[in-house]
Amino acid sequence: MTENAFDNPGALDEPTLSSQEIIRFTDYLADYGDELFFDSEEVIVNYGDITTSIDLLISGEALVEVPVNGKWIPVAWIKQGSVIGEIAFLDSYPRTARVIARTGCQLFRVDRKAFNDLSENNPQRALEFISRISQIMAYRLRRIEQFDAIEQGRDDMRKELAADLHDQTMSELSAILMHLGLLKLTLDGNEETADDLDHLVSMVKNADVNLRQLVRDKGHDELSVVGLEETLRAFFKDLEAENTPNPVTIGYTSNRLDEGGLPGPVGRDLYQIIRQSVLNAVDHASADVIDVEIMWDQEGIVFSVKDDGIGFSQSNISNVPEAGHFGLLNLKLRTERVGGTVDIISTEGEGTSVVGTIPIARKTSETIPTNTVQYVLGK
Amino acid sequence: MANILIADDSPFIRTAYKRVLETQADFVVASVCEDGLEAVNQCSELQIDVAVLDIRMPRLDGISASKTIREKNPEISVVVVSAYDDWSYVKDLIETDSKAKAYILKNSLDDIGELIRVVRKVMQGHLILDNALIEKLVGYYERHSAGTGNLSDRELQVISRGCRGMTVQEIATDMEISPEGVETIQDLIEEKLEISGDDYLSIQSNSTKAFLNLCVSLSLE
Repeated sequence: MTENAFDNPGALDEPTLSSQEIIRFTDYLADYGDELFFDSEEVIVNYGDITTSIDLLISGEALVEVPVNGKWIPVAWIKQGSVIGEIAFLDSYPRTARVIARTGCQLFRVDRKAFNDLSENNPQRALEFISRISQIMAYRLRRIEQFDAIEQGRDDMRKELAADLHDQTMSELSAILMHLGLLKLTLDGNEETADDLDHLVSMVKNADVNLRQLVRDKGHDELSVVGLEETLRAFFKDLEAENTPNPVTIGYTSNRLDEGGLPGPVGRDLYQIIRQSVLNAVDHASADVIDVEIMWDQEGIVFSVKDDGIGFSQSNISNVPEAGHFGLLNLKLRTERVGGTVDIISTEGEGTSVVGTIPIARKTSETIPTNTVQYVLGK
Repeated sequence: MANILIADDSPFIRTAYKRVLETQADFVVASVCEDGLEAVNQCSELQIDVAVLDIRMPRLDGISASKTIREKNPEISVVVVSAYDDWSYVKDLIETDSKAKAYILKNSLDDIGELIRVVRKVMQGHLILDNALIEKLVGYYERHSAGTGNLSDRELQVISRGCRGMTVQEIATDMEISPEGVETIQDLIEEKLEISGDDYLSIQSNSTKAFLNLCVSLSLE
């Protein structure tokens, strides 16, 4: 059994700055930073914020949470003497977690620029500060490795479960449908019972479709086995079973993405980027037409997902999971992770376009034929 | 009368197959087995015409069982029922000979008529592949066929129906064209795809043979 590492985030105690260190550092940095106060439940750092500041927690307690499938999952307690935002302080990347005060919190906040000033004016002090922060960060990195190992264990379990569902449960659903089919043969014109049976059949079929989707999502090794093209097509094909108020036509155009040596991790991220964009359009955009295009040549990959739906205004984009556009930031992080760029362009009432590039050269000088397939949802 | 053997490790599924097959007056379920080894032994002991085998079974899997059964009793038709739309299994099943064999996905059997249809077809000597698998094969073909003679949509439609075990007449009716029209398309396919030496498909038309040969030679995973 693997245990849920998230159940008890406090179990892994990390090194903290002692009271003396806090006093010393706030003294060093007095001219470069600000003291801040937060009430309980107040947001100290928001997910997606682009700031380069680091916070020393002088007193109080805070909780670090990350978004997983639209929910905030606590991953760490931050206690007195601890630091917040050490990674963004170094790499200026958007925040990948949010931090909520769980008691009243007193912080000392320094941004990167102010710290650079300290480095110039008093390199000795800056070095002392940064090496202490590095120790805390090193501890946190080690802990992430432990999380990864636990995640790997869970992943193996998920795959095993998916295989069991696939072999056993789905076969038995087929057997149930056969039995129901036989039952129907024995009804001599009893229409009420026949209707009940039809209803049962559609319920079981629905369960079967859901299971298939689940197995595909949980046993997500499919991509490395059948390739990106096949996985995307299977995803679109599965969407056809989706109930949409009006028919939605998805056109998928690509040029044989599985030829030319696309690295596995890029393929996986690209799949998730396309999947997320299409689901956004299907679930939130009320679109009639969604055009998906992925073209790959020696220059790199250009992908786009365009819909003719309701669109949204830029000010609507929010990072909270409750809002439908939460996936957008994820999309951006994924694209950037593989060295690419992505733009999300939308005007209210005029649809949304997700357009991006990934600079990875195709290993061929030939022109690869382009293929388009259409899928219709909610027929 | 056809004597049928069923092998599946789930009692629930065994009962379902048995009851479906027994709706047919000319079918007799002569043996019900829990694994592949039992199926192999029963096929040697009893007069079996068709063996319906689950792909995943304890002791001996369905593909291995079908091979042993055919080595010992070449006249027995086999239907392999699988949860995997995976070409490598099909390849394994038909590599030595493809006469009177079927590879069907479990969820295709939701419709009770399908198992009956497949059993009847294999008894006539046909090779039957599941629809989902044919779709996948055609998809693979479209993406891997550069330089091997590109087939038109219409030609692929004829091939798909051939892989399902349809006769020229049935294909003609289904596509709303004349039988002669079907034959003309089949000739075109044969011209485009060279038939390789190992002629292991015995019943299907040459055009279907050529297509499946090509898919084997492309060594699709």
